[in-house]
Amino acid sequence: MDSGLPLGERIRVRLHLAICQACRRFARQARTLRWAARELGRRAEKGTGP
Amino acid sequence: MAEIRPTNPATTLAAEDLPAFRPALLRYASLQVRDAAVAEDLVQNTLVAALKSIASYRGDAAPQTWLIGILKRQIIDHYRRVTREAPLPAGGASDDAEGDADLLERLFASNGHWVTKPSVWSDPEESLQQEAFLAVLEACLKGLAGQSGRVFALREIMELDAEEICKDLGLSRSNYWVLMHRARLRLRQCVERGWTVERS
Repeated sequence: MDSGLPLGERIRVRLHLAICQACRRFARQARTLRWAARELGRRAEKGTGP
Repeated sequence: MAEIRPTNPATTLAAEDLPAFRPALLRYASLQVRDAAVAEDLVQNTLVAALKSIASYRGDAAPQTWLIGILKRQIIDHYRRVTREAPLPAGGASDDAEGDADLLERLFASNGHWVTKPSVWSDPEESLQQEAFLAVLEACLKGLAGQSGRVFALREIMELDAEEICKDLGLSRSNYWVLMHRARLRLRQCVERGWTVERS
């Protein structure tokens, strides 16, 4: 998701996620929020609503 | 009124057709900006701009897609103006520092550990409850004010890339990441109140 992070930061995030279950859940929630926000935007562009 | 001759003969757009697109444009604008009056103004400006440049419409895209493109530029210009008029405090990445501090205090202990662990959400991408989840998120987005709301909307709804957002809003890369993180924290907290969770 945060692919724009510098490599060192990305590795640190991955290592932290490996030991932090709550953070993995948060990351999954963030991915869901991204999917849903984009879906809302695309639907609004096409003129279809939730 | 003059009718435009499009490249694709099936797609035409006349000046008198423009008002019919107002509801769709308003819906898109309302996803991006929290203030209903501002959303109305942006749509009005979009229709005026479309009227002025309707001669350039060639039918390469559907009329609504063309109009949304104009609206997107209006939204970005609006955010640029807002940011110029009320820039972020030096070194700060939030225009709601008190609210953010309160949120962070409720989420994290002083040692940095989670106070309440995030729940496991049932996956709306694979569920029949997709529509319900989207409705909850849409309601939550309306409460996501300030610069973090703008950054989240530009990145996740309008799908601009981070570099472009930083340039448009005059943000450093680190401010951008902080604002996105705070937007996600606020949104997930709001969504969790309205969404079925599987606690484990």
